[in-house]
Amino acid sequence: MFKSKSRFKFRFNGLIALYIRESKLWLGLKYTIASALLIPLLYFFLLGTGMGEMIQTPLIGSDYILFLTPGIVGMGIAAIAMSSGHVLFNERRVWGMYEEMLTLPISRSAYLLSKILWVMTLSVGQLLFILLVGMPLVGGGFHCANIILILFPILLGAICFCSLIMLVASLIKSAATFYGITGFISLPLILCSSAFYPLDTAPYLLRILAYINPMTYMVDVMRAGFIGSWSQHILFEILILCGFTVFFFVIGVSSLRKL
Amino acid sequence: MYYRELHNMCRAWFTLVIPFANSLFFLFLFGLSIGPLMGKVEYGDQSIDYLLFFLPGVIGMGTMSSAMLPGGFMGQDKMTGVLEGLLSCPISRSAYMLSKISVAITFSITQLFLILLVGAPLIGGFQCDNIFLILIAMLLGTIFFCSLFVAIASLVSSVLNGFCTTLFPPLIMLCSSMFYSLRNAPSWLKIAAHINPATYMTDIMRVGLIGGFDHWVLMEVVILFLFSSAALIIAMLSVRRIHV
Repeated sequence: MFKSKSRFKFRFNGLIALYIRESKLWLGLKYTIASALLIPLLYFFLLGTGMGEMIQTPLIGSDYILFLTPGIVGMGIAAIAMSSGHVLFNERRVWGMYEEMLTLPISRSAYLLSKILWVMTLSVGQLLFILLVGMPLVGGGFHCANIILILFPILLGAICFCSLIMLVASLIKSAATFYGITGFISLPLILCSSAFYPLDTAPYLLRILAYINPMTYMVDVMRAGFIGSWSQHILFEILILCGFTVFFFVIGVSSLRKL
Repeated sequence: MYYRELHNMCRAWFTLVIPFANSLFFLFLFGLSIGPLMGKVEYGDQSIDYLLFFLPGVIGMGTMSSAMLPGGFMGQDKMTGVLEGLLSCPISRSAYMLSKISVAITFSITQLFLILLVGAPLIGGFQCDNIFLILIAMLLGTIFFCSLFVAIASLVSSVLNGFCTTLFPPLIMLCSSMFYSLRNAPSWLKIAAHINPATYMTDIMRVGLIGGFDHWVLMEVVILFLFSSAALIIAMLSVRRIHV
């Protein structure tokens, strides 16, 4: 028992060391952090204000800004996960640091977990930034009905998107193809979901695509947390999001193990 | 220089496909889904579908994305030292700058026709009231955005250039009439939109596509022309300032 406890402590220390390393690396990428915080804020503030004037509120059931907030947070999480994937790709293909790290007594899952933890940290920071800076800009107050329903999908979404992008980063060899693919999938990932509009009025094909997209479930659960509309359907969506998260995490770890 | 730029950009196929694909994603996914939430959009003295209203915005978006590419490539050239090598060749800096603008115009025109081709059946066909106005707006818009991003690429570090090329497009797109009508927008958004050339580019394209020509459109062409000329001069000067 003592042996397994010390092994756990050893692995935990490894994870903490990798997390600190990841933090130092990201704190050096000041402009990446700035754009991760500012771009969602721009969409929230400008798209929310401009579209809010044109959209018929009864059709979405709430103020458009409030409707949009979880979508913008979801968009931000996907963008941060993409940036994390870019860092992994550079570490592996450009800087050659990934191979160096594999020679250390640190597991590959700890490596992925450290990336996920940092994406979670930035995502929560981005949520706070939108709530504390964005909401007063649009004249709204800090509005959240259930903080757990907001934080839980953020954590699951961070794991899900981070694992997905790690999978892509581990499979692709050329930098041009990697950046091309991530640039190509970013926008459909957001637009094929309920981030900007309710799916009830969306075309049938888009609805099908949205239901196989984890972003939809993450945004819907967060929206329930913001608006306070809990129902059994939300519980079902949490379960689907958990399923997606486990699936992508397992694939992400196994793809890193194959490297 | 033109062939070099063209070859350079065609090799990185994804940089050409992504702006076009993103324009189509916005038109098909965003436009079709959010349109029913708005009903009809007031335009001049008529009410039109949101999709028809949004189409010039999508073309403007594509124009801006294509026009940004030479600036992005210049940032890369600067980072890898290729730019210094090029500028030490017996080629004038104006020729270097003009080659970038010519390539951007080539891609913008191609993209314009592709979007019109794909967009027409989507909105049940549209009458192109004045293709000349659309081309003028596209041309001036391309010159403005290409010059702007080339000037940024030549004045700032590669890292800061990357930040600007990430942050500016959404700012320019959202502070304009690309996505929404400015008629009912808050006054601060109207002011921000009217100091943004993307608004004039989109408005002129909208008149070219939907109609509603009046004297204000001519005024908008003049304003866009002044913006483009100023940006071109600044870009030329900033390219000349690069030390080799």
